[in-house]
Amino acid sequence: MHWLAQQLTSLDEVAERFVKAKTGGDRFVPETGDAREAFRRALADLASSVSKRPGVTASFVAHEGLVLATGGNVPDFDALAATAQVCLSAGKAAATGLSLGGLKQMVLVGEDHKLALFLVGQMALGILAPCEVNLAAARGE
Amino acid sequence: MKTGAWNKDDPRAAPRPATVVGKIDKGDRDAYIDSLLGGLTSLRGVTAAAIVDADGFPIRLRHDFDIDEDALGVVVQIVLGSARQAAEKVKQGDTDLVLSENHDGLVLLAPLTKGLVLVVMTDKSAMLGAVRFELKETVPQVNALFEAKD
Repeated sequence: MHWLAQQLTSLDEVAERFVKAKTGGDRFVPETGDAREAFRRALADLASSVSKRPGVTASFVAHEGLVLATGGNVPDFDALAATAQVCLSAGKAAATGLSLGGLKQMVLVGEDHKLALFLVGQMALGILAPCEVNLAAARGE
Repeated sequence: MKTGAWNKDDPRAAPRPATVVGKIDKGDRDAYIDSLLGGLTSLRGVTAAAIVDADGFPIRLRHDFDIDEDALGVVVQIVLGSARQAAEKVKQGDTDLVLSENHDGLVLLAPLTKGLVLVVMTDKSAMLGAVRFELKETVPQVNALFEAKD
């Protein structure tokens, strides 16, 4: 398993604990706050650590098209998060229509940069890098 | 940092039973609510989180800086009132969340049970997605506390 896959697996585990902590229905569950904070921190750590991988310009985690956590530095994370939402929505529809199974990732490649998008539960992870960067290496493969 | 009655750094003051709460005494409820507001103010850029009653009076408040509590009540009445009227005009049903994006920050309002409103104020460094996500997760928890029997 490569570096990013390990990170995503760890994040899935934290997310699962968060979802389980919310099972009180309409009642107040004190542990939910801790689990949510752990999930939030894991997302922030992921964005930060991904942005430090070789060749990566920036990374971000978005929820419903809005920025949740960032790493690295780009002028407009808001635009990246909104783009991620648009692309992943279209990708999900296409994956369903083509019977590809659940969408896992997409890559947009421009003349200068590329943007890799990963679905992590209800969150989107985006990785921005110059187009000559080998993202497989950045992912630790 | 100014806080309400409860200091989040003091574990003795933050009861955390490992059970779902269906019945609660007022002291525990206040501590839990302060803990939830503390979760919001711990986010980057969030300067204040408050619960305001139907008359515009803050009943619980956590904030980093001095804040005009009267102004907070007025904000709730004006912004939420306008949003509700607008939603009614365009037949979009109840208002779940109102965002006022201003030059120097954000104000987010989320109606709660019993006519209460959760208010979050931020500076420009806040990440909207993080604040909105936390707010949406916090609302049912706060509602559950206010609905729990004394």
